[in-house]
Amino acid sequence: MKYYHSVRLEVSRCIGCTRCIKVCPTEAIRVRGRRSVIMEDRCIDCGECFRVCHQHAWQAMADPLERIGDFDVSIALVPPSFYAQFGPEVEPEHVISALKDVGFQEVFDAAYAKEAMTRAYRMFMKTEKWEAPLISPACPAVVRLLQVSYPDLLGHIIPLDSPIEIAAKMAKQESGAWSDSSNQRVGCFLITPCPARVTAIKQPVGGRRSYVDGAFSMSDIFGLVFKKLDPRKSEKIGKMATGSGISWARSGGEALSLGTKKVLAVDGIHAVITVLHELERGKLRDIEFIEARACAGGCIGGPLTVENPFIARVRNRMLSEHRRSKSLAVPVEWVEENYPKGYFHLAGTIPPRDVLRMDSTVRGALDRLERMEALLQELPGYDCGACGSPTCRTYALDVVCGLAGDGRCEFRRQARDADDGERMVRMTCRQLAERLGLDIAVEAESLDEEVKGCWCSDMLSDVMAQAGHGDIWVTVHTHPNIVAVASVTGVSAIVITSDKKPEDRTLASARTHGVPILVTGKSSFEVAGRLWSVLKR
Amino acid sequence: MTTLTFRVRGMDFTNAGEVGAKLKRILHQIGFEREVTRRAAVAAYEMEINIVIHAYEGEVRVRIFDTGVEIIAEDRGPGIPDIELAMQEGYSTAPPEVWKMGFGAGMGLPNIRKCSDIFEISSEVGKGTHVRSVVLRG
Repeated sequence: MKYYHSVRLEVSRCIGCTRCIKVCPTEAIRVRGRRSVIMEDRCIDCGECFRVCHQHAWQAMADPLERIGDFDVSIALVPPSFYAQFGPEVEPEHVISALKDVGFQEVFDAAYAKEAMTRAYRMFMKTEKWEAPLISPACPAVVRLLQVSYPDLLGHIIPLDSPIEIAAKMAKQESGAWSDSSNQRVGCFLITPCPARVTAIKQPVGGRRSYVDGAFSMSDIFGLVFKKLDPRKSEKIGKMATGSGISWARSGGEALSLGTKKVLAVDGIHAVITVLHELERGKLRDIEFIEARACAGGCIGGPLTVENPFIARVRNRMLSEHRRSKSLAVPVEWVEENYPKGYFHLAGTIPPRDVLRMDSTVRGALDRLERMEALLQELPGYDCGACGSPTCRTYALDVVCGLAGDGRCEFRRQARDADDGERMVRMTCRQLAERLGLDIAVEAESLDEEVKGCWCSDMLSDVMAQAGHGDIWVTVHTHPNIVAVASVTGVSAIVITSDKKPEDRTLASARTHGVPILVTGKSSFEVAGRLWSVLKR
Repeated sequence: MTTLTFRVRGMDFTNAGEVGAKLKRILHQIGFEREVTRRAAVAAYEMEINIVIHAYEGEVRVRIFDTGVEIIAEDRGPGIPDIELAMQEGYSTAPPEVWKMGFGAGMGLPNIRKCSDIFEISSEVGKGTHVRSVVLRG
């Protein structure tokens, strides 16, 4: 399946720094050839990479503002997070008025639809069979996180459409231009705080076409609206939410709206993962509803927002408190009438994305698992990301799945080199003499023995103390004493360097005692260096 | 065949459930059927929780074959005096503070048996308990 992605990489800007690979909650990014590479089937468009990228290489795509003109009637779908982008003196009615001045014919308050969702959730919990805890379908990045990483938990998601889809449906039906008799083309545009929603609009789960026709980035449209804001121009619209619907913009708002205490609200994608992990461990069965938001703080913390999320949170809280009401704006009768007709239900089911499988066959996967565990033993566990994979474990998996070469870990390479330094190459004295171009002055049996090591010294007592059986001894001495030392220590050959000629008595003694003597014009330094490079590889 | 070993400490509720979750993930990655994965994960989970609640320390060893999973839990602990009684649903010797955390309903061992195609248990009072479960694919 081909996936649409609103979060994309501008390759020319990427420097391969590995910041993004470490924050990606589904481990969908690798660095290859000094550039980030995305694994399309794993990406959930949460925008975490976009947030951490210093190079602005990750970009979040929304629609260009010119698209307003694509329809005869354009409706702006305003989520409550947008109101929180402006100062405390700016009321939602000012924003609505400014949006019309920007070019929208109509404006719909998405928070109103969120109140309809609250009622629909209650209907669902009352009338249908379900297993606790239920997970909110509102955050598209969280829904996709479950598809990719927690397919077993998909059944916990309330099988209702997202509040934004319901909002667009309501907005179009509400619009005067939306009828069979009218030939006007009506388009609904969301002012989105996140790229995840853009993807959900372009490619909704279940495959049905979205009711939303396009999405504008909150940060793109903010300036235009800001300029049009006028304290004297404030327009009331028919269906405005109360504080309850408005509070959905910040984390905890949706959970609170249900009016039960058995709710859990979690925000920030990595925090969401910790809760899902607990759920997978069999916990949280006493919780009825989980509100999970990919962005820290909730939708006000979306990657495409303008205002600091903590400030936006205060604004949103003040507005929802100011507009608090005992009952929701959406009439219960309306929901009771439309719910049984399937107005809120998701068209299809939410399918898992099968990206975790290690191999197409179980046997192959087991083989890979085994090789992966073995490779893991050789990796340092630093999770440094220098290999281009986010963790050592992921790297091991990449290697056995053929997604990465097995030489990318610098630490493993260094450890191997160090190990190799201690290993001697198996070679006889004669082979070594040939390799290094040493002349044989005295032949003896031990020339065909394997070299165990080497000792370079011109102090005889030092050689007596340190050199051992099977070593090669490098020296500049030529007198007969060296044969005695060689015999006592059992070195397999003496190498006399710097073109020094052994004395005749020395040669005679060597023959008698069976100690081979090799000579060379090279210095001790050079011979030692070459011996090292040949033997210690 | 792959062997995985998990060390489990008694009363370590911070990590309790980790073995089941990890095994579930791995079996999913390997491509085991959902039902097989679920049964193996539940068995491993219950074995781990039993060690956490009742024993001082122990180990859960998992061997994965292409035909199924073998899970062995071995602990150093008080042991079970009457295994037949312990196998009855609802029978529990878990302390009340554990019960408050949502464990100790007396369903652990019966649950493991229910999930297993082969189930063995042996125990020595004052020494420890050994549980073996084999979950087979179709």
